[in-house]
Amino acid sequence: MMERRLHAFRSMGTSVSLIADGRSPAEAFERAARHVEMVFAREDLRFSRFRGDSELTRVNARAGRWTKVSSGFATLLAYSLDAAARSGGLFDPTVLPSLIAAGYDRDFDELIAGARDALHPSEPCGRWPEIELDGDLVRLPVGVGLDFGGIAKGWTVDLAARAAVGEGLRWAIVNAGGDLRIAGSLPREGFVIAIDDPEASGEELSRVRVAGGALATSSVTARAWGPGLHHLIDPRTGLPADTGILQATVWAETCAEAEIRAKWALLSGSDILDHVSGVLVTADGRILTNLDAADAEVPA
Amino acid sequence: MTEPHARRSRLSKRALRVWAWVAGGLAFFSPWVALGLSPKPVARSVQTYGQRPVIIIRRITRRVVVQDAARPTAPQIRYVGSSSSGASAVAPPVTTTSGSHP
Repeated sequence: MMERRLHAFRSMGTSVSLIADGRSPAEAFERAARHVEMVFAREDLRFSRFRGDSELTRVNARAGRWTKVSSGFATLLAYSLDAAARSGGLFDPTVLPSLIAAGYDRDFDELIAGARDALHPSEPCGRWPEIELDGDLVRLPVGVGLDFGGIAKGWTVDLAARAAVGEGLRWAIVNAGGDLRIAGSLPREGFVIAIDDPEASGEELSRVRVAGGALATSSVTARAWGPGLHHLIDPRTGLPADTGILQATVWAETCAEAEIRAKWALLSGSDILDHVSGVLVTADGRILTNLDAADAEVPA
Repeated sequence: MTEPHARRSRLSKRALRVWAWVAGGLAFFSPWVALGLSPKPVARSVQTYGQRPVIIIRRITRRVVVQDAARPTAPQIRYVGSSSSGASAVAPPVTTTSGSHP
């Protein structure tokens, strides 16, 4: 069995792990682990909506006025607006008022500590075309709040994986709460990755073999705090999504892109398999995949 | 010269006692009547047998459907099944992907 090194910590309200080749020098792995933690701390300070001192909180508080932002913030905002246009608005960085109305108004660890219900009627989404971005200056329309959510996590995973390989590791996997990026010179056979069961946390549902790129999973059963109350808002209704898809696991070259496509898949339904590569779990008990399954052991 | 007042008829002591008993009885029993008339709670969803709750375990069964995509999917990823279908014999998973588990 292949020897591996592992470093785990918590950031962005989730568990993060760095996995690397066991033949990598110990000093290189320690440097990589420190660098990965530093990347997560830096990006959390930039993109967390639960921190009063984050750049995102400052930008949201100044809605209606031009605000100078860091280059990282401007880059991810431009990427999010492009994703919103590509997905016809199904990926929407302006769902924050709806998310808060649904009850997700605090860090998830605090949220699950007490039973919650929806706080307010749903809020309208889809105001992303009104956001103005001019170089490093941003102006949000009054009443609009940004929430990058999983895309910020995916973006951070990409940065962290590149940083880890840059410290001298042969290959590295960075996994943040199930969103992962594989970087470096991989073994020819790639890696086997397990997909969690959306209805039985911690139990394996399927396996895929990945030879590079990134995987992200979106699920309506994770980060849920009541019946029909979860963190994936459907911008068409302003309410938590209910499309008959429980979970979408999607592959892309980068983790940020995989995050966008996974949300898009979850909100679109099974037809999305004509456009993305992945595995969907439906509410009626099917596992749908368009991946090459020639070597798979699929029960009849 | 003043006219004599018409005398009001007064209840007898016996009649007063009867009215007092009736009023007291009504006041005493009215909470039980209110409780008896109020709607009963909906039956609990967990079936009970005697005092012991019966737990219904639902076995999740799933069917894998491999679809032909309209365009070729990424060559960097392949579906290899699940641990229950024998894929566990191939290689243990390096890590797991899941929906934003805390």
